[in-house]
Amino acid sequence: MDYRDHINDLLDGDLEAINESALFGELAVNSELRSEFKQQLAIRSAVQNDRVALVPPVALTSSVFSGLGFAGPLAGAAAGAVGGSLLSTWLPKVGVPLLAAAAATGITWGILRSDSQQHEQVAQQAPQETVQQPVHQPVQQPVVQTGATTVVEKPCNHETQIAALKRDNAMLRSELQHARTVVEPTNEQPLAEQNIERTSMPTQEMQPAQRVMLTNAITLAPSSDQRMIQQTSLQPITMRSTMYPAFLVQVRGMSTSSLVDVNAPAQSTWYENVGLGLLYQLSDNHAVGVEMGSEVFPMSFQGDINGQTIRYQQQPQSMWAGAAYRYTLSPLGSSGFAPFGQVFLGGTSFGPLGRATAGLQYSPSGPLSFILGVEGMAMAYQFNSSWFTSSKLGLTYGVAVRF
Amino acid sequence: MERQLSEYSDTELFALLRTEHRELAFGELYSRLSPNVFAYCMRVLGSRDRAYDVFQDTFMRFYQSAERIEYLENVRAYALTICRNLCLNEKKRAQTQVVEFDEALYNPGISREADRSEMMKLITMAMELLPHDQKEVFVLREYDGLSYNEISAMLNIKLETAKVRVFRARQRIKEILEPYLNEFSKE
Repeated sequence: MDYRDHINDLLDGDLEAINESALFGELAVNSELRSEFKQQLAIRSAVQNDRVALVPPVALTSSVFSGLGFAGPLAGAAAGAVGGSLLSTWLPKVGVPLLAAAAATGITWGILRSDSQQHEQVAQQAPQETVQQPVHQPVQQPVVQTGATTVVEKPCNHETQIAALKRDNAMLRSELQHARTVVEPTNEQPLAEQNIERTSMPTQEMQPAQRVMLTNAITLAPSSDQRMIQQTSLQPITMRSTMYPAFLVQVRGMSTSSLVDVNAPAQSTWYENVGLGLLYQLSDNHAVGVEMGSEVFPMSFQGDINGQTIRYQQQPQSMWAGAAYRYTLSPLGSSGFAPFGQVFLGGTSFGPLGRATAGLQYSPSGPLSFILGVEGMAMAYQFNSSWFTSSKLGLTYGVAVRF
Repeated sequence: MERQLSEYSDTELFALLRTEHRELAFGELYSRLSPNVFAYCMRVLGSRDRAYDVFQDTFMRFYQSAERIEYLENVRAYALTICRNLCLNEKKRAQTQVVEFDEALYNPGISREADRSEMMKLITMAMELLPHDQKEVFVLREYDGLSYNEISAMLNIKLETAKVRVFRARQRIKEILEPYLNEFSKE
């Protein structure tokens, strides 16, 4: 009986029970066979270690996938189920249009809202217009219907018009005098009360045709401008500080270079190195919010696997998300530029992530603002119970919409 | 509830290569098969550069084959068969060239800087000294985990022949490494 065959079968897991007991009985007394058995086990162990270490490098995997026109194995793994493929298939196609549409909607809405706020502020500061609103309304001319034909009757008596003009002018002066008596002693009086006062003005002369002529009368009367100035001074136009809290949607890109020496090619996707944030502006200076994005993280790490030290280099891409705090200094003069600093704490699929940003924020009139700054990033990740860091430094630039 | 990709069999995933889910299916199949194919390329060809080329070509052809093959019972054996044929072609082509000492011959494929234990280096060297037929079945058996039935079907040899070749490969490696193994056993 050749016990080497039994050892071979044992290594293959095919040794029958009856032969197993015979083999172990022989091993107990045969030192040469025992040595043979140990050697085969050592070889097998070494082969297993070698097999585990034989992993296709990331660069080779990337070559295979890019050669087939695929994004990469990580993208596929992230989707998980087959049902998720719909998302992964459609996301690249609709993602950019959706993002652009969302940004355009936000910008448009922000502009419209800002515009409407400005109108509201002006309207609040110009209650005197409430009396004269009929002047700005379309002319309501008398209409006479004669059968199927509609004839617009136009005022043609000039003497009557002049008389009405003088009468209205006198009435306006009287109204102005009355307004001064109402406004001047009560500078701090709420505008609503002033409006009430005005609505009590006599209106018996306010005929449609006369209102048309009032337009000219008001244009000629300089006293109305004085009244506007007086009343404008009652309530200053609302400043920025009263418009908080406000939201800031920000899209930014990052152009960074690795502080880790990595030669492996980066995993490339259409949405890499971008960030989308929502900041909640508490005041001119302070803002907090959340931010998420996608970025490539250069990694260089090593560890012991089955007794051998292996060094890896890769640049995988990962989504990241977290919380951010921004402190913005006062604008530099009237230039619209304001320095800011921002810190971010979050995480990636590999480990925790921290960012520090310093730069300038340019806020022209309107809801849009632009940022440009320098950013440092560090991401910690673990391999074989050891921690490593991936760090980058570079520029960040973006646009934000305030609403 | 949708099934996770990991729950699909190799055969099902191969069938999905003909559908719109091809990218996901290929990614999953790649994760399952690439260690086997890579180990075969590295240990049978020896040269890292040549192994890389064959490895990449194998998966290209594997993916393209899904267009004309509707059903495949043993996907792993099929991928390894493609790999084997490409390796044979590569060896034939290389025989006409002057072979120089290549440091990568003893490289496990992770990195040139990778440190390895002395024992693993010796195993790699010993395998290089095996006849091709023994080395091939040894890799398929020990590295790729194929059963003797799968090996015999793949190589079109008898079951016993496959077993004998593996046995002889083990013995040969043991003989080559015996002095070193004795040293290791003393330690």
